[in-house]
Amino acid sequence: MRELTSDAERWGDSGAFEPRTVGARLRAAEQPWRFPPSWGMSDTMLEAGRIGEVEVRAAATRGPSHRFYGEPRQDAVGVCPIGDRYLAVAVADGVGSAPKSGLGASTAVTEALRFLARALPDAPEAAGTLPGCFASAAEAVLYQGPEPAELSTTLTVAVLGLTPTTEGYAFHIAQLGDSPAYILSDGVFRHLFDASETAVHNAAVHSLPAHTQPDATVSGHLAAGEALVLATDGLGNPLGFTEVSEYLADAWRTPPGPIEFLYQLQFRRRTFDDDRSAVVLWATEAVEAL
Amino acid sequence: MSEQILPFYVVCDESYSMEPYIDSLNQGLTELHKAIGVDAIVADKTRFCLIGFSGTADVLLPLSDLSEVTELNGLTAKSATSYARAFELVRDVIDRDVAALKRDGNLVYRPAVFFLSDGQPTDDTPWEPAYRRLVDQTWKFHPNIIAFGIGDADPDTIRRIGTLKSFMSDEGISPGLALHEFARALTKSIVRSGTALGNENEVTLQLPEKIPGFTEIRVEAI
Repeated sequence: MRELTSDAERWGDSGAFEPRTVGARLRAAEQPWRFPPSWGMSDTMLEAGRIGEVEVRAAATRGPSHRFYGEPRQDAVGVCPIGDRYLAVAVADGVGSAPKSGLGASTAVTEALRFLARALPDAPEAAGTLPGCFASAAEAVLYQGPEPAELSTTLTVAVLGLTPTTEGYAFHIAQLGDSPAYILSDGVFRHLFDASETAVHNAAVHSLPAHTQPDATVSGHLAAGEALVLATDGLGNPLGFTEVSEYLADAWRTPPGPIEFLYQLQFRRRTFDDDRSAVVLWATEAVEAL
Repeated sequence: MSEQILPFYVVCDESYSMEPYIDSLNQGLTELHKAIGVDAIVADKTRFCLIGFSGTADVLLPLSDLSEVTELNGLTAKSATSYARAFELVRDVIDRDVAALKRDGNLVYRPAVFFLSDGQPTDDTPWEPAYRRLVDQTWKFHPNIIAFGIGDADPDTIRRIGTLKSFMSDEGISPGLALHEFARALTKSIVRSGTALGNENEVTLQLPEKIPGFTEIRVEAI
């Protein structure tokens, strides 16, 4: 029985480190984390850096539900600069109900980025090359074991050109499944893919390795002062609520420090206890020469 | 409050023929209440409504967060078995509940109805029109239905009611034991669905693979 401990025994970060509650309290987030039965996926992965004028923050972190029940993380993120021309990033959300689906997500991210690192330097342009990484990722997932369906995962991949034009940095994004992408501009998260509301929430999505092609692609430019956000639905679902989008839009107006980014990503909200992942690329305003 | 919620509706036959076994069912529901009330993840994301039907149908527990319910009113045996009253009531209640949840800004998943009967309907007029209104695909909140028949229930009728799955209790198993297994299956389904909700991208309603004392009845190929 997973009895709740009393309020006096609240567990976890406190003070300035305690993640913000945005909305109603999420009791399970105050409980001790439990370890998965076998180790393999760390609780959290964090990446951060700066490439030219582009600031990068990326994290995938176990949600309160997986921490509460002692189940491994099922999300993964990846960041890969390709020479000095491109930056490739990916997010994946393992959808299999088996605990191994995190392996599918991390395999898909790794292979998608590996494919792009091989293919992009010699490719005439990025948009045509991008969809190929899905078939390559699907194949890598299939190689992981006898029951590939247990490793099913979404995959969203973006390639950002690192040489800005007057419009900004050109980007191309391809999506298989429901891991969303946004432009954060002037305090508003704008969906880059269709996110139409249905009467009752429908959770069925396409995934690797059963599908080997993206469902949708989108291209655009990231202007100075804007941020490109790739996420899994653990972040995308709560981001649909004004309180949450206002909190993160404000927190991500300018690039936070790496640990601060992780803290912000872990805001608490009742029932939103899924793993959370985000890759955020800020096109910082170039410092003008005097 | 804006949350993600999966509502469960349990629609139980409380006609007189259930009288000898109704305590087993009530005990099973008490255990369900205990198990779910202490699981913060599941209690937050699921809501539970209990409807009893005989000649009439009544809401015994309005749609609730089980961690906030102190006492669960049990079922009591009454006369007659009107499927039509049961289907009409559950449709009205779902329509009202889901609309209210959505009005509050919640993300609502398709409701699940667990329907349980131990006998033949005694409706004066056909119950099918009320059933068709409940499963009408053009009604946007139409639920998934899992139907359970025990004892003298007619397998053909039970099979027609389940939209997702239908089960009949095995011959020889006591109805009391079957009801207990029904309550256990329901608890498991709520716990697994509540755990998975928002964490899975597949089918949201999770059902146990096998339910002891019951056999799944399928639509036969023609």
